[in-house]
Amino acid sequence: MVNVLANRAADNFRLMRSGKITLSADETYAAVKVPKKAFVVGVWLEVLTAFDDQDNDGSLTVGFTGNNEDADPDYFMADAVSLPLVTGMKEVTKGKWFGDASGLITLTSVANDSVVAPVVRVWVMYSVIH
Amino acid sequence: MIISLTSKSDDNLRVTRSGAVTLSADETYALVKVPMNAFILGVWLHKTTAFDAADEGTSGTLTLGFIGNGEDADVDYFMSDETVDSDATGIVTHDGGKHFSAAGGYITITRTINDSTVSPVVQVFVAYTVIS
Repeated sequence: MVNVLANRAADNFRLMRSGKITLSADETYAAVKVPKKAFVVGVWLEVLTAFDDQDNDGSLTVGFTGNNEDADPDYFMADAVSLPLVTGMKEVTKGKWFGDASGLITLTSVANDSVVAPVVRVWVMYSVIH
Repeated sequence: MIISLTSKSDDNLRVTRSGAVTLSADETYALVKVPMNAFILGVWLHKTTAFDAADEGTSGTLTLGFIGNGEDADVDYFMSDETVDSDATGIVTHDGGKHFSAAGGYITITRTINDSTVSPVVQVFVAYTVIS
């Protein structure tokens, strides 16, 4: 057996809750800030007012910017997971370590023709580990 | 980019474990009480005794849900019968995502139309953070 056991551990964690965000325009919205060395262990998207996208070609994705990387607007949730036409809670357990720099959890609305502005809330759980 | 950053956060965590509950009748069982403002992070269902073969092919179901929060009860919010897979022992998980923002509540398991000759035995673990 090769001994490559870890000696890095942390027992802190933090759950962040965004406010109710009204997606009034096709934009990228910075919802939650995460510090350097944060390992994101869970993200939930709560669709409170659904898209009523008239031609059904719009999308809503959850991603990040920061960590000295290019922004990835659908890293956590593609449109097929966020299902913005349906209210309710959507979850993902995909991990992301902000090992190089802090960052932001983002929401990106594209080509949304809804006559009523959608309203969403984001929950992010992370642990800071060096 | 539109900045809509939050300052709401909390770092408390509680994992609650139910006892080993014998599901001896078609009923809804209240397993775990959760306080107001709890956000459910995860739910694990440990099936130590499964439904037996007598229930196979029938319409019996086992689902995991909640009651409370000033809402109508939702008996399969966390796990449908398909997710529970009540004919097999073992652990099944759900990644949570429920905020009891209006009132406290209970995590429930609901047994319906079960013809099993042995009563299933289950245990539930629930992780949550209280965040207002």
